[in-house]
Amino acid sequence: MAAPRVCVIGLDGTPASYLRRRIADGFLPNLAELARGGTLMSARAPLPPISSVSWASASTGVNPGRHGVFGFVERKPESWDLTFTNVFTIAEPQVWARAAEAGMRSVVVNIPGTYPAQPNGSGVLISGFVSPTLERSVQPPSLIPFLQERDYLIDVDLGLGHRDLEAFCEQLFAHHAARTRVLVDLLDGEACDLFYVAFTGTDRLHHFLWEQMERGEEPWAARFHDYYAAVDASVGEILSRLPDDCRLILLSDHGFCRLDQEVFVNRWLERDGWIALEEPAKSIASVIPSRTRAYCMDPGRLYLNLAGREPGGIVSPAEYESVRDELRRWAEALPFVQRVATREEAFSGPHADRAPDLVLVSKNGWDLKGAVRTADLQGKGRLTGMHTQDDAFVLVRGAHPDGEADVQDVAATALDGLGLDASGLDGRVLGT
Amino acid sequence: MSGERERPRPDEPAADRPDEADEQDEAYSEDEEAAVAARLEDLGYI
Repeated sequence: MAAPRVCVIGLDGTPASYLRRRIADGFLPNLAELARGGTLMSARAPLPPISSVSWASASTGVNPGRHGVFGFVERKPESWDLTFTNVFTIAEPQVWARAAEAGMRSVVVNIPGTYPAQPNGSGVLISGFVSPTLERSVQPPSLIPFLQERDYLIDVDLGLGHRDLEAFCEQLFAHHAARTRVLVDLLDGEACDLFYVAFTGTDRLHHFLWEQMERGEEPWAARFHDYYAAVDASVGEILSRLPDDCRLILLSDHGFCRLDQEVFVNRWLERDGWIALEEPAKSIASVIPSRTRAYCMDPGRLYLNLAGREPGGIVSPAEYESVRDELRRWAEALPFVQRVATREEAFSGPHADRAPDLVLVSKNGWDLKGAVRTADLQGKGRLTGMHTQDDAFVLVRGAHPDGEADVQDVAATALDGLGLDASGLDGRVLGT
Repeated sequence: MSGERERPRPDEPAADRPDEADEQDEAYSEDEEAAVAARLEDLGYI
């Protein structure tokens, strides 16, 4: 069986700082061994730092202005209705597509944003979040029984996290064990050049248990660290099947921190006269365009209600710069905003014209939301962890690159490991 | 998705593919959209 030449393992949302702390305390032996032989680099996610955007960068090697994914939801063209981004939104070839074009075979498992699964040359692709059905998540479909026999779940029941944390944790561990079984059996049974997979249970764990972990609140803190012990063991199982000369890349797609308050940005815009909504508002489709100059899409994407772009837009193109400057100054004065990036500062490429006009980066603890179902400015529910742009990580086995990594470097480094051309990408090859 | 047209090449960016707008619309069925919305709402994304 031909073993992979390149193996990419994602730990969704795992902060570099958490790994360093646990390794220093004597835990996570497999990750510790890798961190002794290579540099555990801090890494930066693209904006906004959510999985659909970040995994698109990690798999294409380019910024969102080139791959075209700016969130999980977008406004439909010429409408205020929402649509969900998916594999067809990604406008640049992903690493495995480039490998297939060069006659190589890939096994790709659980990468967010890859639904519905598309044929992956002669290889395997099992979609990740958000995949509502297994049937359309697997290529070739003949693998579906293989997954069912192993109790494979694409994701845990996230609703359980809101209703029953104990049951949520139980399912999280079972789900991780099933994912590991599938990965190990695929490694043993499928010859491939590229093995590109992600564990996403880490992100779910963080969303519901981060604060409890930080406070040392039991039994949740122990559950949290035990879950990472299971992740470490899974990494070890995969490692034991890889040849020494396989280029191994580990990454997280964003960082994480404690969530103190969820901030409903559209309600702040409403308070200060930027937006009007029909109540009870359900989504941004409840906007009253004639009384709206700006609106927010999750997580902190601000758009002007621009004439000719938004239906019923009232900001004329001639006013664009001045109104955007005014909006930027407004946003910079908000108590939860760390900084504001313009479209031109954050994105470049042929799809940058679809990017938000401004992107808010929040202070840690303040989780920005585009939701309008609540009339409150802010609040807190069952989620206790939130994403950060910084404090992601990248680790290339045996390599000691300088500086901070960018998530998009992963695709460039993987292509280079396959002997393919990584020039022309935004990411750099993280070599020795 | 249409089962009749030729499959896109794997290296062909989606934006360059024919009927891309149709594919975007058909990526999720109506039932699937409801499930997707529920999952995104569970993580606070919408």
